[in-house]
Amino acid sequence: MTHIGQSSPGSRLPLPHRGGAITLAWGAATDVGHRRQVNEDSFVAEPPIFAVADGMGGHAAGDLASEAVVNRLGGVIADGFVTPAAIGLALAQASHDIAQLDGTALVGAGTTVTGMALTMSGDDPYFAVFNVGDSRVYRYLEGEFEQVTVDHSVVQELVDAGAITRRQADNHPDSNVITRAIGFNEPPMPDYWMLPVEPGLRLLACSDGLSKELDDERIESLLAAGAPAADTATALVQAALESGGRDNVTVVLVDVLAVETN
Amino acid sequence: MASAYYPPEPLAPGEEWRLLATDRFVGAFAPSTGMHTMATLWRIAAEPSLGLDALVGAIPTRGADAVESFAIAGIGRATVFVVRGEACSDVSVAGRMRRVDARGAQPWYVAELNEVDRFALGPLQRSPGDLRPTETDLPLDGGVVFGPWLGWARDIVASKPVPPARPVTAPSPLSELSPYDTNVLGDLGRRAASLTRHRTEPPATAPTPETAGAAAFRLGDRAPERVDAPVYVGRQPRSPRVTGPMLPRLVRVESPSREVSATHIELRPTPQGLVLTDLQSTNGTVVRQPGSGVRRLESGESLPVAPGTLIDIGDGNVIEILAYR
Repeated sequence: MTHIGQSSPGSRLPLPHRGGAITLAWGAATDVGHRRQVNEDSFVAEPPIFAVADGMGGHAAGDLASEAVVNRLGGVIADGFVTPAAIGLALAQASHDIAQLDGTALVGAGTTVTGMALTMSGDDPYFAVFNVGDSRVYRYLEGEFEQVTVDHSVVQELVDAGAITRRQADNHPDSNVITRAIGFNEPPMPDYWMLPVEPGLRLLACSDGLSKELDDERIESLLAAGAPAADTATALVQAALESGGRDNVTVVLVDVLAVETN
Repeated sequence: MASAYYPPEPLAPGEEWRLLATDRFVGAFAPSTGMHTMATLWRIAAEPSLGLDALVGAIPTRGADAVESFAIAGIGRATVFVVRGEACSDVSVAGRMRRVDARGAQPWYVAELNEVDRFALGPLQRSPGDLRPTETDLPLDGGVVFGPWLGWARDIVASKPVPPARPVTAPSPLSELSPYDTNVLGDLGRRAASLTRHRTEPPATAPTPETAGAAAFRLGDRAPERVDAPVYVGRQPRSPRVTGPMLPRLVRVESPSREVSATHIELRPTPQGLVLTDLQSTNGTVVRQPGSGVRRLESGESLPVAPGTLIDIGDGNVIEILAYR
């Protein structure tokens, strides 16, 4: 478990170039859960990067793998709003770091990573949502709730192919098998989505310790309750623990409180 | 004292590469790179708390200021090379020569090498030579100068008194790599639908370059923009899933009557040219193609668009497709 950043009830961030600013609040929470000995999740919660990594591998290798990713992403923080190239470079470097971890050559180590990074498209602020693996980003805005990321998992591929339904996917025996990761000597292949930074927007990044314990309706209702970001993050983790807590559970939540443009 | 050097040859204005050197970074940037960009890069390179990712991240890769070609080396126990476009780095690794070029990767190609003795950064169309400074070459202690290429040699440092220790890049597991090993961090671009202008003379080491007709667009009276990644235009546009390092470009337009949908159209570069897709817009898209009059795209319909095409998405927002030189 490595974490970078602290919760904030409200921080005004000036936009690069043209003036204007956005105000964000954010919170994060994590728990080892009821079954695991080690928390192999890690997170970053500091502008411009909000991300969750869920490490995999024996003998604490997963912990080192998720640490490598958040450390590389954390290295981008000092630069203010990021470019997508900076995220790609950080993930490539993390992949390289993981390949060099002592003692992992035989067992293999890797991690998922998902999250959102503040970036600019022209004069407009955007969240670049990125994903490798089966951690998820959810979006909530004005009563609309959706899963933004698409899992890189065998089960998701079966759903996409029409072989099984979404509901069958939730209980599928292969639900832990993922098709992309950072590490395992594979070059990272992130997916990206660009979401405009809008007032009222609420983005949730979480490890599968949350999404496998709580169904969409439950996650939506906790986001819709409208409690502050840090409190909502804690409530989500608590709900996952009460539903079983079979895995490490980590959430990072960002609220857009205001957008000022010039 | 310096380990960087360059030949002070007089050059025509369009042939002068911008050469940057600090004790941690050296770089060569294409002659079209603006001095405003160079000033920004110099400030980042000279700031000890900022690393290679900050320097690379600050290089504009699209828009009017885009630096189409550059080669950068981050000096540490291992040497990290980042190359783009028509630039390359010729490297002597433990006495063996190799060339690191971008191979069409977008937005750039990264390689990390240990045991680097000497290297030179500059344009692809150049003989690497033996990578040793001659008597007419000038040392470059730090700063930005013009020249045909930039050299760097570790032995210049070794033969002179060692300069006082300055902060270098943080130690990393990368330094534990075995010598002579090429450790490619990731060809971040091979999967991207890149639209690089293809080289006239590909180097022998490079795979077949991806060839494509490049295009640009202009919205109303705004500046033209090259299309090197999918473009989404709308009132409050967002992108669907995109894989690879080239993030889409989101273009927001004013639509007081909300005639324009939140994400109205996509312009996607393909090897065959630009493809326009109406993204299930509420009010549709009207296209005027040269030689074939006006037509209306059905919701969700796609259409290849050539330079000269005008695309009307509503509320007076017209996009013109242009050829990119």
